[in-house]
Amino acid sequence: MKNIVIAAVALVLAAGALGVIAFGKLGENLVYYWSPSQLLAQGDKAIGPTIRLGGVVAAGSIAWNANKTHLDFKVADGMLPTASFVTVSSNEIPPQMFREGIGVVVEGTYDKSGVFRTNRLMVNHSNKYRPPQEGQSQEEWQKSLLEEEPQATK
Amino acid sequence: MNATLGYGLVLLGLLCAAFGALVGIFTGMTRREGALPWVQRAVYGFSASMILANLVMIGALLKHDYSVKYVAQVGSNSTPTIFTIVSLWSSLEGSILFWGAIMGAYLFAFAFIHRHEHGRYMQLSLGMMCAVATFFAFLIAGPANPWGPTPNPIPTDGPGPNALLQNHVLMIIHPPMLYLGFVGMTVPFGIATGALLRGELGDAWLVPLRKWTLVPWTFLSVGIILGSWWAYAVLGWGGYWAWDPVENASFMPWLAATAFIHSTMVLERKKSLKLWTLALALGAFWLTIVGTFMTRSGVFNSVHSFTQSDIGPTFLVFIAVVMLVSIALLALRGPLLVAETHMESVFSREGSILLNNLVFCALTFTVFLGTTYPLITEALANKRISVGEPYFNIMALPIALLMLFLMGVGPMLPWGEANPKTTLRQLAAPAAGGVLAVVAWKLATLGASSAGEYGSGTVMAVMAFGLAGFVAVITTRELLLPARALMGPGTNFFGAVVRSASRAPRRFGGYVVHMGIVIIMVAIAASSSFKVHASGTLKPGETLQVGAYQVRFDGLSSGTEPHRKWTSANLTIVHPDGKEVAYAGGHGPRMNYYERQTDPVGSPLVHELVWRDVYVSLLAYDAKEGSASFNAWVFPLVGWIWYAIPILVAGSLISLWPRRRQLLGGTAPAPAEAAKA
Repeated sequence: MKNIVIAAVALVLAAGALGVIAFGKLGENLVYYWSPSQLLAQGDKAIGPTIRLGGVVAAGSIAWNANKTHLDFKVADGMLPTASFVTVSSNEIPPQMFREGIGVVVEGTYDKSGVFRTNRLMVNHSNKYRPPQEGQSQEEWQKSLLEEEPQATK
Repeated sequence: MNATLGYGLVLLGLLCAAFGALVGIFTGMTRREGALPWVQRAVYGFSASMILANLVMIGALLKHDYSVKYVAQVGSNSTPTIFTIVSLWSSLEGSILFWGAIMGAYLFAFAFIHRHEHGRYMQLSLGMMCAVATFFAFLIAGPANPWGPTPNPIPTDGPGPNALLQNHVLMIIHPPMLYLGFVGMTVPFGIATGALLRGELGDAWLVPLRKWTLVPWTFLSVGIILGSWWAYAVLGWGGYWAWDPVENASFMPWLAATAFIHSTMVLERKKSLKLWTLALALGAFWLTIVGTFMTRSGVFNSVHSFTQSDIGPTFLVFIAVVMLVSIALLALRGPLLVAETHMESVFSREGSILLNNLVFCALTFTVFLGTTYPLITEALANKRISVGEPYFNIMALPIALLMLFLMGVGPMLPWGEANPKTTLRQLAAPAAGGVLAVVAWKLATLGASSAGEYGSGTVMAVMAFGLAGFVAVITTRELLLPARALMGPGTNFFGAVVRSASRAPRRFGGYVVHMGIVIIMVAIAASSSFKVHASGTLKPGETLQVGAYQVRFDGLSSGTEPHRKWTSANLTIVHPDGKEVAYAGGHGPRMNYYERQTDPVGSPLVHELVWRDVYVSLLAYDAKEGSASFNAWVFPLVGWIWYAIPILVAGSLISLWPRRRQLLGGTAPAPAEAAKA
């Protein structure tokens, strides 16, 4: 009987320790999912933690450095010129679909100078039906897919 | 026509399952054993109608019968035949229908193999399995009905299955493996709840309970590894595991089932831990249902959108029902299962297995917490957050190291109580093995880390190597020692090993599986913490250095296949010794353009070598300038994660093999299971 009590106490202690550690580590590693306006509304609270910023790439905001290793662009709430935006700085090469007006999710941190630094850039997929037109070459078709009316998906 | 026939078969299946559940459980509880043949017939009826319904659907897909809603949803005239068949499980409704066929196959196999068993145990177990089958048949008949009519006008062509599905052959075999693993847990659930309903776990059922868990466990293991291989070979983000909810959904039931398989050894040997073992079986089944819900209801896109999915609410109700029934059965009937022995010491085989169980439960809890926490915060506080990968790594890695340690110590300890002196003596060789493994790794990578050929690694990874060496020595000793005892004049060593394996297949197979797991753990540690990454935009003729390898870009090429067009980067991998391997004409990393998808799907180049992979994915290209951007990695040992699959399967098959005594005794459940696996 005594052994069972010892075992039970040990088990409860171990389970408690696991719970405390797990919840602690969980709290340290939460990633917030915000839109540009939500991020800006957080004020200083947005500086520091890992954030997933979701929005659309603002028109005319994509700027590469000379040898195409660094990229700056703006992520906005929507396509309207008045939409709030956050400037993003990325060392990651974006995927093929990356273009103005496409929905993106960037993961990174927001710093005091108001720049969002990311090391992870994800593009929202759209799966709209679009067969190649009669007489359209592969290049033209692919180009038409990429230049298709951008959708601000969220 | 197809729709009517298919839907009719599903309704028939639903009827049979409901009949089997009601009759099985009712007559089982009221001790009317004469009703068993009726329950068996209901099971056979359910199995036949579900399998036939799937054949009808495959027929409709092949004939491009767009009047069937599901065919109009995933079919396409230009999809190659093989992908047309595979599109049976490419989308929600079809995959649930396919689920029904697998359920039918399992229930048929169980009912048929144990057809000579009498008694209400069989009625209760079959009844409980039928109850689960009823739920899935209801799902197919109602919320996830693939047979509905297509709104007029009926199209002449469809969009085709998801492009990712068409992009790799692994996608053909990976989902069925997972389904076979998930659905198969219904059988141990049935056996366990049958035992609880009867209030007694008969000795005759201990071995079948273990074996019927080992079958889905094997499928689940293979499915998980194939899934990670698929993510690695297809998705191109340079990894194979990201603690994604979909991955966790398959990992949690695997953890619970693994714990269960271990505790059945204590159950068989010592006739104790009965309630605990059954609780693990119920838990593993519950986690498969939760996992299906997580992957199939779209709940992870947004908590608030899942109610719009057709199956989300139904599943949630089922999850609650299974949980309540399980808890009620364990609480009300559990006390009837009396342990026949008590544990003498924690310092023993049974002690180490119990400890192993607790560690597995701890990991399951950790993963469960991290996976469901975002759902709970979104549902309660309407905040969208996710739990970062670091949480899972920080929590899981130490637990995994502890598991590795127990995997070594456990097999060394005898049943009953270990003698500390003997144990210490036996520890010498394994400890040397551990040190040797670390030294071997250091020698193999001597100078390589500083030269940038490998990543710098972590302390945990080196600990994993050491523990792996420790476990490998113990496992090899356990595998071969019995054979040495059998060696006599005239027998060679190989013959003795085979003979010792056939005398104790469960034990031998188990250690073979352990060897496979050790290989996987080493491969994970090496590939995750010693990888090297480089990225850059190249013009033709330029190279990118990654580790000791050079990736040379030789220009773009493009081409057409029946169902897609592609643009590919021609690459040459230059080995450190100057050897060049060229990948041109679509064999390099590429972008595939499917006819009816706007976004291209990338395929990375995996330059597979025995001890490492050079992995290059094409991020973007500029056809005008002829330049392309790449992400490149060198992953040491990564391939060994998937090379270990045959070892795991072989070990499981050996374990499932019936012992000679059982073959003569008449209750031989295993040959068919083994053949199936």
